[in-house]
Amino acid sequence: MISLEAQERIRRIGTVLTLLLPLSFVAFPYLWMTLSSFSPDKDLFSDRTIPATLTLLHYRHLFERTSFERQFLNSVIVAVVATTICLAVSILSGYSLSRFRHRWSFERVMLLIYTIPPVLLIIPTLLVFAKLHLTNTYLGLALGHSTFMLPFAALILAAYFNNIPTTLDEAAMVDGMSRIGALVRIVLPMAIPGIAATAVIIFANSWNDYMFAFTLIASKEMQTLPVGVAELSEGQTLQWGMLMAAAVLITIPMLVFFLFVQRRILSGFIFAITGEK
Amino acid sequence: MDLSFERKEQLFSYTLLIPLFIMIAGLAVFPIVYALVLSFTDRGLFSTSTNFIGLANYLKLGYSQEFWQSLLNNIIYAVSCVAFQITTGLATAMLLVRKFRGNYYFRAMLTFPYLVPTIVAVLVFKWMLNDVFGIVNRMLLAAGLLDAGVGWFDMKRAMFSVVLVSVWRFFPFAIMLFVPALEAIPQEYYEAARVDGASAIQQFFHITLPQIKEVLFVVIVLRGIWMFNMFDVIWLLTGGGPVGKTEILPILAYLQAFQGYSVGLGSATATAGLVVLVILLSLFYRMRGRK
Repeated sequence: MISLEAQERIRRIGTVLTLLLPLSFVAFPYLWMTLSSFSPDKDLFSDRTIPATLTLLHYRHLFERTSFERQFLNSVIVAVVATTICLAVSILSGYSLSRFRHRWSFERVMLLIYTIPPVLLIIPTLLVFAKLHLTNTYLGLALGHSTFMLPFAALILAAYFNNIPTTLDEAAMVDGMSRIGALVRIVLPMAIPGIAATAVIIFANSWNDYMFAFTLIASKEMQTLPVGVAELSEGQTLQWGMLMAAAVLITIPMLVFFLFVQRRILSGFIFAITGEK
Repeated sequence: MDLSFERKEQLFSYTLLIPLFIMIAGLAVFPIVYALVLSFTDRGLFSTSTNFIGLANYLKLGYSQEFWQSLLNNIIYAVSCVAFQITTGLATAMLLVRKFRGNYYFRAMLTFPYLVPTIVAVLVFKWMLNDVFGIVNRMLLAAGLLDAGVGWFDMKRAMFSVVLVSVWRFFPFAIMLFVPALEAIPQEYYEAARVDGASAIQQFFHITLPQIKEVLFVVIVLRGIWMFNMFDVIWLLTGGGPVGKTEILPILAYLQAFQGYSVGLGSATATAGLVVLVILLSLFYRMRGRK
């Protein structure tokens, strides 16, 4: 008869071993992508699995032969503009949703917007943006990226504000501060972790977008990373090493962000979209 | 005029919402209405003349084999993606809520992919599934499971491959929602069940599943919507090919509007897709109501 403690231990080891299955499913493509990006062509296109030597040549080619830096910069600018717009708007509305009672449920509004097929939006958006000279601009693309992120950000921030006691705003207002003063000086500083996590989600979403960028941006100089790199992957003979190098470099900023806010993301902030608190 | 405090507060609360409503009206409501109008016209991408042609676009779709095939593909794709994402996500989440050392790192590594751009997923899988040099074929050959490398994006396997990539890309979302839901289940329920001699399977169906019902419903709805409306994964992997094998409605709509230059027809296809989605969702809501 094994002791209870030993049983518990075996159970734990079993759990970890079983988890290696989904983990390898998730992680293997990343490992393979990274390894391939450092493998010389002769190893990539032969029967060799593990390369004999490693090389930075693919990264060099990426910078010398493509407009990777420019596209990287474009992606950053668009994501920053989109994040700024969404945060500015959703901080105000999130505060309103959290502090005042409203007759309608905003969750329902968000679900309705989520139901819209992006492809249905992109057709009229292109026609309207072309008229307004918003195509081929950072602002236009950032506005496009805001469409689905705005209601999401407003709800998430409302959930964060809900965790900050209303008595704090009331005390500030008794001390003669206005509502806006209470929001800016009391509530915002306390909500910074939540705002940062929300900002990361918006940024990542914009960074990820392909369809809006592909449709609303026609000029080469304004192309964002996903579109530019997708273009490199067209054709018959592909520079797989260089493409993997591009994939690694697109992933790194997301990894850095993730390390910053993982605790927030993992600690169930997602409950905001489910309408639970 | 002297406004009461409540009245002022109420006005203020609406004022704060104005920017959001303007943005939603401009970026979502107006475009939808416009798309609906366009679907009744013969508007081309570059033409300036627009004529109302009534239901002609919709009739054209009704008679087109391609439309019905895309709709069928769309349902097959969305249903299999959601099914696999939920089963793998739930199974993984159930392991993650157990106590063991390094738990936190497992959670982090398993949720990170949700932040990684689709283009990365697409490039990596295209490379791994490459028919000649891809690691998957090479490993299967080495293991003796294949006699010759197979084309993972050919007629027979393209749908499988796009589903595989979609599951890989999006199942962490299910983990992120299931983990807190599972953690919220009081442990006493399981202890009591164990005392009564309930098996692990019984515990799953009589405790776990009923307790996470709400979250499960949310995951199915959200993932269902997103997979049904998916564009970029398939566009970048196969473009809807080979010969329409992975063509779903958003792809068809995009091709009609921007490669066939028929904005009216593309809008009609996308609108039809939205209508189907709303019907499916309301059926699903009703099913849930009956339970």
